[in-house]
Amino acid sequence: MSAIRADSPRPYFNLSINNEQDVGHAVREARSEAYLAGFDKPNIFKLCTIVAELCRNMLYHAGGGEFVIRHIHSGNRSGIEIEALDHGPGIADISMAMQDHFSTRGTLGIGLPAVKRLSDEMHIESEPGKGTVVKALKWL
Amino acid sequence: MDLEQLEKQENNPINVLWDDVLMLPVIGMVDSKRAQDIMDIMLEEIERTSSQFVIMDVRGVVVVDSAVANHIVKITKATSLMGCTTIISGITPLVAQSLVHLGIDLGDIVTTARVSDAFSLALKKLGLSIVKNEQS
Ligand SMILES: Nc1ncnc2c1ncn2[C@@H]1O[C@H](COP(=O)(O)OP(=O)(O)OP(=O)(O)O)[C@@H](O)[C@H]1O
Ligand SMILES: [Mg+2]
Repeated sequence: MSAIRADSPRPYFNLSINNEQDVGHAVREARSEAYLAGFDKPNIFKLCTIVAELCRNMLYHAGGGEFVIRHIHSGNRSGIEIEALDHGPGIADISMAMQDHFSTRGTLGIGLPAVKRLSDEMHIESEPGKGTVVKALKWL
Repeated sequence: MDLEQLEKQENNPINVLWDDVLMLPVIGMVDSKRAQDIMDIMLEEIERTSSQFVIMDVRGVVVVDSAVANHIVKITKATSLMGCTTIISGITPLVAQSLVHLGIDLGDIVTTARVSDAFSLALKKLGLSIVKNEQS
């Protein structure tokens, strides 16, 4: 995870996620940022999927939150980091939440494990009653 | 007709491709309202035309995440209750990969890469075929 904090990255784009339109907006921004960063089509699509999953989680499980895209550089590598931050109820058991088909909402329960599979690095911090921060990173 | 209904129809232009075969291209973001609109339009049109097949082309969908996959499954179930089979076309290699990463099994849902594949499949199931005219 050290790569995520390698140099203090400047937020490139951030957006409050309060409804489904905002999710669409976030996905479109992520798509253009990923394109500008030089990602190929399959990886742009993957980044967009990550953004949709994380933003929808904030919306459905935390009533909304903040979404940030950063261009990151570490050594000669560069990439994009997605951050989803909310002040919702938090996740009681992160390892449970990371499992396929675990959902407290009765949906498929595949969002978080999919984000893990779609990204190169993923990091979750959550404190019950305080909120959740999920970071997902993809190298170019 | 109210404005909402009008917009719903404009955003989701469903076509009769052939007797018994409908086609709806889905373009852009699919959120839960959009998914509900698509389902409404499809069910209305299936009822009106008593079609046996509806092709839903998802090639233009910006992102296929778990929520969208969920909607596709729901829509497919609803149409089948009306005796109409949904064929999902536009499953490009990108979308297929994405579904694998999501771990989504579309189960019995029929999918094809192109709209034309979906259309010929529907025709075949209806016992129809397209023949080339004899050269005169
Ligand atoms: N931002 C969040 N705040 C609070 N709880 C969360 C948050 N994100 C995820 N969770 C918890 O983790 C569980 C698993 O999340 P995941 O995205 O994998 O599945 P889901 O959102 O329930 O279903 P799906 O994403 O398949 O529609 C959720 O059911 C929820 O309990
Ligand atoms: Mg989710």
